[in-house]
Amino acid sequence: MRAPTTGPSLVIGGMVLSAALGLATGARAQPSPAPPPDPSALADPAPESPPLETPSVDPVERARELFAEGIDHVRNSEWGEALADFQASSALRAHAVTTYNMGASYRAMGRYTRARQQFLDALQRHAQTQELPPHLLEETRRFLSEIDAVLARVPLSISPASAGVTVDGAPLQTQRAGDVTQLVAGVRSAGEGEPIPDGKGTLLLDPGSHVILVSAEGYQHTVVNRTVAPGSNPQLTLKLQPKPSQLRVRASTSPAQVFLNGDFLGIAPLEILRPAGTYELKVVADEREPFTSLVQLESGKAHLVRADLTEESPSVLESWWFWTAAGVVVTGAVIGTYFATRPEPTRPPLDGGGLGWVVPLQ
Amino acid sequence: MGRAPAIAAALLATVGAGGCTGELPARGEVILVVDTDLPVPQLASALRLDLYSIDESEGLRWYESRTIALPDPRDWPVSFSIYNPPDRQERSALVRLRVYPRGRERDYHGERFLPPPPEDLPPDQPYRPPEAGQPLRLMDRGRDVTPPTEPSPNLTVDRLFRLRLVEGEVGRARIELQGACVGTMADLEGRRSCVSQEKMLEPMEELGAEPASGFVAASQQGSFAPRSGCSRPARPPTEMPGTGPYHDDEVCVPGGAFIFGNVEAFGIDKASGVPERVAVLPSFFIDRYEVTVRRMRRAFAEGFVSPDGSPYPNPGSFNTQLGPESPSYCTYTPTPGPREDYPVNCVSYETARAFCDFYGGDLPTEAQWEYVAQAAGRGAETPYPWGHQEPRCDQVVYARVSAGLAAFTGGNQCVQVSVGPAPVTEIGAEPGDVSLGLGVFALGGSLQEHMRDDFLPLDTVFWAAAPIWSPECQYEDPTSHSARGGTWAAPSSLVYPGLRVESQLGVGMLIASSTSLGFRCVWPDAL
Repeated sequence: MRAPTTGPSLVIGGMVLSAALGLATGARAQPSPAPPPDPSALADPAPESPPLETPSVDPVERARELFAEGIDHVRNSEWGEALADFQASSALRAHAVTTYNMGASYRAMGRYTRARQQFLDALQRHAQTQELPPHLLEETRRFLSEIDAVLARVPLSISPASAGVTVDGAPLQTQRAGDVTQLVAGVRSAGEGEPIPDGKGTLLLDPGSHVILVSAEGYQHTVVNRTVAPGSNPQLTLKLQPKPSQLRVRASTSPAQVFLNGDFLGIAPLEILRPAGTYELKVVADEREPFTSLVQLESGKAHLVRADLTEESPSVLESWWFWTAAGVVVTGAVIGTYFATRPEPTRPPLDGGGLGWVVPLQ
Repeated sequence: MGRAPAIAAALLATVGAGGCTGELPARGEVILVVDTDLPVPQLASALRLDLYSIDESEGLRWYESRTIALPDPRDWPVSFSIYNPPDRQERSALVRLRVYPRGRERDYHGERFLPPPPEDLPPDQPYRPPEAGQPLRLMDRGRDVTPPTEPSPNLTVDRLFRLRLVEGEVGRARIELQGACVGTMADLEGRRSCVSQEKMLEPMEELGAEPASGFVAASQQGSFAPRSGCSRPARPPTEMPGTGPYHDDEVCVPGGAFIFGNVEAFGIDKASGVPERVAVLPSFFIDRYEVTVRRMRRAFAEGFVSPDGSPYPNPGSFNTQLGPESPSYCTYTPTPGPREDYPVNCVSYETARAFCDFYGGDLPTEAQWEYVAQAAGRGAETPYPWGHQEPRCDQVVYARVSAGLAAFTGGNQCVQVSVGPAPVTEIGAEPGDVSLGLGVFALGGSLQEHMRDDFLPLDTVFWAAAPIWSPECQYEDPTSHSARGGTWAAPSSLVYPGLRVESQLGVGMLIASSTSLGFRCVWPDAL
């Protein structure tokens, strides 16, 4: 991975300067931030600071204390603790310099998308408040340029477009950059996936490994592991497959053969999986009226069909009085009648084994 | 039978039309009883059935495919029937049965047969299946319903046979899918498959319906490479009074079969963890801890001689202003000092292997190390030695770099704990960097460890030809060895035992920079 060009000392130096600006002098007395003092006159704020043994009640003073504590953590390379202090300081009293420091902390921790967001926020705030001194303003723009070269930009296409997407367990933040929809990963808290506009966009990722989950109602969700190199832009197209539907068939008598669209499936009871759609179901058994039905299968759902097989209506030819009346007058006629009305010969039922699979050869 | 048909039957008898009955002959049917000796569900939890008809003019035609999940050992043996529809008195078909661990599948791009490699190929030559194979598609009444995936051949027992069914003949046939055949793909075009001998393809046999005896044999599942304990107690830890423990105790690793390789480590150039394969290991012993500075010093005192002067001695303390490649992070000191309980680093492959040999052991093979890290001592394989949980800074020794390039690429995520290597006595918060079941320490982080194997990518001739039992990569004129494990300087993404590492270190300066490399030893369980 290409290293950021700024060494730790300069970053720390930037933060120390930031600590002395804005929040250090007279901020409590003035509702708006004081103009930045001459940088050459700045010194380590520690000798002028009161001992921070008891947190202040005044929010501005407390914000200053937290800011200074954050700088101390930076000196010890304790980036996580520094970030927490800067965030707490910003919650009490927002300032573009504090936001800049948060961005620098994220950058040192390798969280480039978060760093980018903080630097963009710092520039946005600066546009209204002019809080960033010129060298920090330039530094912010330079960091953004550096991060833009490090981030992976993945052209992403999802089908169906309504599918929700998460990266590493969190939804994406959607931004517009001209005509392009940018999908920024790693800046939002963990949560459910959300659809992306038109199912398309450019995914901004930190270099490294990520888990991408795409899910939609009625579809089988997809989980993809991707490792992206700095500055790379590999295409990612994900198409979800509809969930199959489960069809369960029960019959009122046994054995009963089950056919679906004319294909023999096996002996009831059975369960099968099929794509969503409409099918013709037929269940037949000896000496029973065939059961037919149109079944509408829906993705991801189970359907149960109970085939109630009624007895066949008795034929007049099977009535005893017919034969008595016919007698044995004409031998050939009797034989012909017998062959026309005798019961259908049957075969022994199929076994199916433990699985109940009865598979025909072709 | 009703009264009317009875009268009619009697009439028939009178006129001499006797001999007609109400029963037709049974359809030709065979109940296939399928069993496996692989352990269920670790290496066998799904069964796939494919049927092909053979036509002289059309060739092979694929017309049936079914898959069922069978993750419970009580599901085996499994049985189902294949029958001959009554429109023809006799039929034959090709039957293909495949048993594999559920979820281990690859995209289907036609029949991509890859035989065991011939012996004359160079071991480091890539050996991969063709991108696309024989374009066999599954057609159902003119519709293409070909399954999009097929079982991964390396993890599958793949058996082919011919089934002949005659009207009126009903019986059983038993097929045992043997673990010795795992990884040997059936040759559909050549009508060959493995029956019982590793990597041997035999012409397919013809089966018919055997009369059922009424006796169903018990399943053989789990009898292939059963887990076996060690034949002797493990060596307990020793301690020099007044000096401290040597952390030299060993752990018994019961033998067994597992999936060697990791699909999660896919696509990392030649260090990729695919293709996965099945490996079987006998029981052995492994060091509970990485070899420590104190233990190395004792070896020197007992007469061990390093072949190249390593480990690199560092009389000073860690310089946290420098990057992880600085020799100031070497842990071995010229005289006893404050790092006696630290794992020894800055040590070459040659010295590590000579140390283990000095005590009657050897470096672990990659298969042995991965088995301990991900499979041994637990019912199902886990991604990390301690389970499924992602590593945390307070639990594993990793990402403790405060300066240099690594600090800006995720290597400083845990510097709030400490900077540099940590002693083996640093247990870490629950669940710790401790392997499930066996209690082996620091397989997740701390130091990367020298492996006995020469390094070759898993998709080379060597690994395709390697045996299932105790695979080990050794070939003539290797250019590198293998290493495994995360390190104190690695970001969290590299704290994953499935990642393979190619180590090309030599002597001198490079060894002094190998601050992330250490080792532990293994011993055979002589029965």
